[in-house]
Amino acid sequence: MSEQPVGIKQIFKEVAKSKAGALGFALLVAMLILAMFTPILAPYNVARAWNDLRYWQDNPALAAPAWVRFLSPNSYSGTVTLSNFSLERSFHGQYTLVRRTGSFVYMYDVFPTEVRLLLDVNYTARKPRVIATLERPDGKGVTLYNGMPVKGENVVSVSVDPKYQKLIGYFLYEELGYVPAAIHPEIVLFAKKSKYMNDRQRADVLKGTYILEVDAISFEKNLSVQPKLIVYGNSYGIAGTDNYRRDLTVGLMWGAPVALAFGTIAAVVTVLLQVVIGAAGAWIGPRADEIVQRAADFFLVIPVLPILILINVVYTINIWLLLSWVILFSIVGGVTKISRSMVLQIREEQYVEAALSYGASKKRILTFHILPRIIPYTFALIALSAPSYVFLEAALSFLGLGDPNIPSWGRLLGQAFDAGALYYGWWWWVIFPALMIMLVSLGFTLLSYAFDKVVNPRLREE
Amino acid sequence: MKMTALLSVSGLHLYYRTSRGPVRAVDGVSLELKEGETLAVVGESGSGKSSMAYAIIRVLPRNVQRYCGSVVFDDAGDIVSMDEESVRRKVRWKGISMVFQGAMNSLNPVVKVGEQIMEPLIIHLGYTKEGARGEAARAMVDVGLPDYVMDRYPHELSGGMKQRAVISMALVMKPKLVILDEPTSALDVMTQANIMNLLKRLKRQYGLSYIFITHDLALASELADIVAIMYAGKIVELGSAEDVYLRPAHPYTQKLLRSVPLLREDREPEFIPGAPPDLVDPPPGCRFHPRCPYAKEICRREEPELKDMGGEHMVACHFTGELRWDG
Repeated sequence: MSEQPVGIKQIFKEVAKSKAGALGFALLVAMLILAMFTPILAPYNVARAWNDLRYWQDNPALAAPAWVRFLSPNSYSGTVTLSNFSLERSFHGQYTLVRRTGSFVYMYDVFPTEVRLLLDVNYTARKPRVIATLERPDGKGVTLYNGMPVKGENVVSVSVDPKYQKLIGYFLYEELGYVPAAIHPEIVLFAKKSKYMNDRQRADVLKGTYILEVDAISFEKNLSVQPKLIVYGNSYGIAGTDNYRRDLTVGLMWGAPVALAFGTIAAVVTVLLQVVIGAAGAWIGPRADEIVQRAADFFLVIPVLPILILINVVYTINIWLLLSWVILFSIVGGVTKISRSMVLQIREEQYVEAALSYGASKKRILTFHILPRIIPYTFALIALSAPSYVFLEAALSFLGLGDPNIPSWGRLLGQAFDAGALYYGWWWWVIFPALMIMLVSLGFTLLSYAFDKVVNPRLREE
Repeated sequence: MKMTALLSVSGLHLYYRTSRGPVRAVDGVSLELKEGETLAVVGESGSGKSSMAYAIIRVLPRNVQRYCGSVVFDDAGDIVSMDEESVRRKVRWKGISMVFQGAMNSLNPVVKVGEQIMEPLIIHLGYTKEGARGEAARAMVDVGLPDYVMDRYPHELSGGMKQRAVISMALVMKPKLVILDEPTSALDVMTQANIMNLLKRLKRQYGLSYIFITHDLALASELADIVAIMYAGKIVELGSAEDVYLRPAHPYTQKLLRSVPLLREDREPEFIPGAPPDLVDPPPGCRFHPRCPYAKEICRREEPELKDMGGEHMVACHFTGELRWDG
């Protein structure tokens, strides 16, 4: 049997040598790298925009991750955004005509999930009339918009707004001779002509080049109009989007620093506090020990979660405040009892007796002889308790009690749950945050397992 | 030449509290040790040898019930009645140091050997780590430890080296008296001999006094000037090594000596029937009487006093001088 390692450096070396330890380290280092790159790949202002729904409007809602297109190219589509338009300005007597023309190719096998036209219009006093027409590859033209937009950005929700659905209805009447009760513009616009062209299941996609023509007519010469057509697909990004079109990749990335910082800081601080307080209590004497242990019992039985919920009701909470409260409620606890039991053993050791005999003070013996014996186990305990703090943060965020300013894994899960993601089959919204929580916990757990094996001689492999 | 006593112990009692009642580990021990002398305390396991050492240096376990008597050391005064702080400052390691039983356990496994040897210097003399290092290195050279041991952890040393390290720790403050509690019991015979030679050399070099606690009569004879034989918490025979080894007067001492196998003599080693008495409830009268072949009625009733047979050879037996010893 190899000798029991002593010294922090040697313990870390031994841990890294074991399979579990190496895997745990690798997982956590990967998470750490992700956390460090997060501010570069998704700056903080992007995360701050998490609650700003306008920020995400170019993304499709509830889109699966983009890479599923490689797995099943026939059932997923990407988003097509058309924003390059040619400009043609002509004057007809009093009138000024501005014509913007742009084209895009639609080659996906499935229909878009939504079509949206954005019109950024600028004029001096009198509203222009704007007509937007989509010319399909089969030569048929469909009017998407006919109206007098206000100054600034106008959102034409072709798919959702009944006002615009009606325009598609006229097209359908021309083609089919009747208007169905429910109109699905995103299907009708991109379907081959047939009597099923309003039916997602039975219609065929009309592939080819589509041309959008936006005409603006006004009495004013200095008229400008900047259109943008978004044909939303059903897949987006690395991790898909939620019902508010937010890119889940950003949320997942920001979850890493939040979870790692919260889990690690909470675990390190609480475990060290508990170890030192438990050891000091047991070493100082029966009365101090009694006080510390009863306090530990008290803190073990009080329900922390409801109290945190209560605090959340009273104070506005952010992640650091939450961390402080969690630490406050874990000054003594389970680890206190572990460290106490170890001190009860160590204080009977001969070298403690020897130290007393050569006149070392109690404080000196605690810091020189007793704590160094417990420190190796402390690493294992820290690694062991870190996942529970990661879970606690996730649980609080899940309940909507986390920091409202930044996305976290628990918060993503909570929102997925509220939206019924599992019921509707939006798996990416649930699986990725859960996977991240699992990976971090797994990393810490493997590490604690490896530490335990190194510092606990009875578990050491021969 | 009459030297003044370095240590004089009288009426020392140390009882431990247990659920069955007090354990009379040390029950009225008196002895005297002069400067430069070595006292060997010999006895079976559980005879109170180690307890006596703890009582002298006043490192008491938590369950002490009775601790009284007097232990006057040098010019420090009575250790028993001194307050804890003065014991810590005046006596421990400056005056008396101790090598505990089992060197393997006397070193903290997670602290470097050198740092542990430095500890007493840092605590008592306020040395800095650097200053203590030089002093500790000297103490290590004294016990024949190579200087690389300084930065080793205990598990990297052999048993003999650990024992040397513990001894150098006891000597680092240059005390007058060193209590050695079975310093060689866990070592092989060769290492044992080396350590014994080391102890002899150190004694000559620094004029140390030892209290050498052992269960090994032969080993005790190598070092001892005076020998105290302990039985059931009491000293049954005390005298110069010559007296005790050549003219043992107590039946227990005689039996002990006969139990040692001899190399040059064709004699069957004897053994002492029975087992050491229970210290919670020791036999009345002479504590050895249940195992003593000469026991008479009086032994069961009356406890014998330590009597001087002449030449400071003290024996606690009713029949002192009547028992024949033919070697």
